[in-house]
Amino acid sequence: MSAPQRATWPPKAVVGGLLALHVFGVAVASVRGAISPIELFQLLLLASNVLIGVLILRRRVDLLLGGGALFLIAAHAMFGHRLAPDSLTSGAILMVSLLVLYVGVKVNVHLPARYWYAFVASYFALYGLFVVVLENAEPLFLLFLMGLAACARSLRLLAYFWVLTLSFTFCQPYAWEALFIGFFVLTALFTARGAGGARTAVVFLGVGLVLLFFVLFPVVVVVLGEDLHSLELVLRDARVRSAIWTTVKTATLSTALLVAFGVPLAYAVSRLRFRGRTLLLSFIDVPIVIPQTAAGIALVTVFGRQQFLGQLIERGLGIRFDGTLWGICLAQVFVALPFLAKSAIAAFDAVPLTLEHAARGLGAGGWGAFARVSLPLASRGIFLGAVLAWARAAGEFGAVLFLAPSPKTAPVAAYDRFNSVGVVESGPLVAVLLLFSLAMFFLLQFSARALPTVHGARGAAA
Amino acid sequence: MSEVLRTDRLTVSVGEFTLGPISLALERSDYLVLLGPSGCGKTTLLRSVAGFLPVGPRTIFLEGRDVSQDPPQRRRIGYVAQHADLFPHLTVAENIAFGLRYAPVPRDKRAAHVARIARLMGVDGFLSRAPDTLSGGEARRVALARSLAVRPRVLLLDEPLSMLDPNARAGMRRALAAVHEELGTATIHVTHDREEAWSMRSRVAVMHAGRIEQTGPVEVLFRRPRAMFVARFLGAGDVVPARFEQQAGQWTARVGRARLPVSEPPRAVRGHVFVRPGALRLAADDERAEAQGTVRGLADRGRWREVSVEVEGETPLTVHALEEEDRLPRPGEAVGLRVLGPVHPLIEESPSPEEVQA
Repeated sequence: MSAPQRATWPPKAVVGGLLALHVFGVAVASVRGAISPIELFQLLLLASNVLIGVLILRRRVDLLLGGGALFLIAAHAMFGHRLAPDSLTSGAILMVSLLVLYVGVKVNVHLPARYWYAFVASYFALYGLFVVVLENAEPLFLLFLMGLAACARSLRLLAYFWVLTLSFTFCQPYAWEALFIGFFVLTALFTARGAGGARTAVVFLGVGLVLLFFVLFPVVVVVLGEDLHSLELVLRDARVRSAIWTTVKTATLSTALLVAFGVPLAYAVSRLRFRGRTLLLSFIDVPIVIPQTAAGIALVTVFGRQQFLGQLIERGLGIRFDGTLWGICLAQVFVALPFLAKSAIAAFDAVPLTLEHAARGLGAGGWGAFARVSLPLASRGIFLGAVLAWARAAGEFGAVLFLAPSPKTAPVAAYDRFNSVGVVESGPLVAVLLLFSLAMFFLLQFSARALPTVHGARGAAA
Repeated sequence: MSEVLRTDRLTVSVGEFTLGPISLALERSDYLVLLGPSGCGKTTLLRSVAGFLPVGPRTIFLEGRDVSQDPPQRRRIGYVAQHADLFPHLTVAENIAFGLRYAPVPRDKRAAHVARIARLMGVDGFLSRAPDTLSGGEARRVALARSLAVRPRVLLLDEPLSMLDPNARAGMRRALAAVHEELGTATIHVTHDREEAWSMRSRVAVMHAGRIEQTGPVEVLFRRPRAMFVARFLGAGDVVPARFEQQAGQWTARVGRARLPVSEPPRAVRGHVFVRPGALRLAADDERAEAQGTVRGLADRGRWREVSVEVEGETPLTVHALEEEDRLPRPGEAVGLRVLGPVHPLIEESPSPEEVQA
């Protein structure tokens, strides 16, 4: 039945007394005509809760509920006609009151004291929000009170309720964005705690999610901020479509080039030990370290039309870099290399050498062991690396701008648009680009789950 | 010729450790148990035979051909490592069939071949499962099936029974016996467990510090160890210091004040002898005792009792006393001993490769 009561502070009676004081004050104000009649009604409702809070009789729940309900109904019969414009509204108010009464009794009697505190505190907060801060919002107050009643028996639910409430009051312009992020954070924290995570780690998760907020909020705002019609208009724009198509084409080609050369490199670096290996690993990171603009200028310095190597390649292979798709690919390969290479090296490192030995013992040569064992087992890591590299290539701006400002890729097009028409007008285009990139990214990320991992090479139990 | 595998003074260095020189020969359908303590070089030997460690030329011969410079995939040696090392992205059946494309098995017979090997190893019940759903024993059997499927010339098993629960152990042992019976593949079975070596009832080679100390049928090794290390490691009797004396052309060993017959002439006048528990028994009261001693301890082994007798200040010897026949003495009591068989002089240092054969 009722949870064993520990000595709690502040005592339940004090909290109930606070509630009583508030109700008394409201009643006085109501009689003087200072607030709307609905408040008076809430007074009755809360008076019953005070009754429960202060004079609680643990074994007399039915009596309390019945008595409180009768009290409410009687009060409603006497004053209801004065409080509501019609009988339907009046009935609804009675229903809400009965619900809150019922939940109040249940929470007070059956749950630990902190639920009761949360319930009372939420009541005050809602009152403050809808009656004091937002004036003349009594109907909203009733509505949210109903929500409170529905959520009061679970503190987690109450947290979600408050995220919803605050999103649609204080964060009004970004209500949906705030709601999305708030629910995401709460779900992460609650499930982490529920799965037995240590309290410290869960708190750290909360701290870390603050960072995520700065990443997620602008993206969500831009994506949710545009209506479908303007998005459709942008999509019909030939320039936008050609920019997206250019991006897809070049990023895919760049990724293919990276896979073709990067996977053998990664396998070799993972399996071989040679002088200069550490240096090579550092070189792979260089594109992450240097600014994109510096990378772009460096590339122009070497592969530009006026430069020796650029001219050599143009004469020899007929490939020109500045202002062509090849130039875009060159810049993209440069900046995306670390993402593929590092993932692939880590993936090959995770494949035990003993599995390759097993394959060779069964007759497979070096190529067979690579193609039939190591490559399949590293494929998930390589694929994820390729996805990252693709995303990096598609999103590259600085290096591409210097080497090949046209044909325009999506990032360059967004920059142009922003320069010519400003932040508001470029919104739909940016939303389209963001949606497109995110969709590709998540699609690819999730499809990686179909690929194998090295788990289970040694049997489930040794 | 039926010789399948021969190593000729094989030497391998891995860091500080040096293996060998090791010369051993394996005939078709031989089953050799390689027994030795951890770190004695058993796995190094297997890995170099399998081709995963570089070795000198003309050290490893398969069917008479020098393979010491061949890569693993050209040796056709089935090496089953201690961990099953199954390919986690393939099903059990695909694991077993992995090497068939390199093996002398016609394409149209492969499915039947896999089925036969799987049945033999008792893994035919879970051919479509993934390796990470198998128990340790099941995974080990699948790994063995995978190696057998390619019809290896030699099978190298690294601790095939270790880290299994007793039932899985028994099942694996039965499977090994059945496979050997059916296919007759020459096999080297590595273990550090002398009970396991005993249970396989086959030829055993005892390794110590990178060398083979003695090879022979397991019964012979347990009853007549030649090297000190073998006698101590197998622990089937006592190793006690002795002085050897010659009387009228007959060698005897003096252990304390007792004079015991020896099985063969010793190499030096001082050394150690191996005394099997059955070589002595307690003398009955009316019997003439050939040696005197003091009881130091009693151990109840269930089916028999062991009496440790200290022979006049020397290391305790163990005597088997059968319960129903003997009056059991108490610790501290003086007893007489009867000699039933000879004791065996032991070689102190590691024997030369020629002396290894029992």
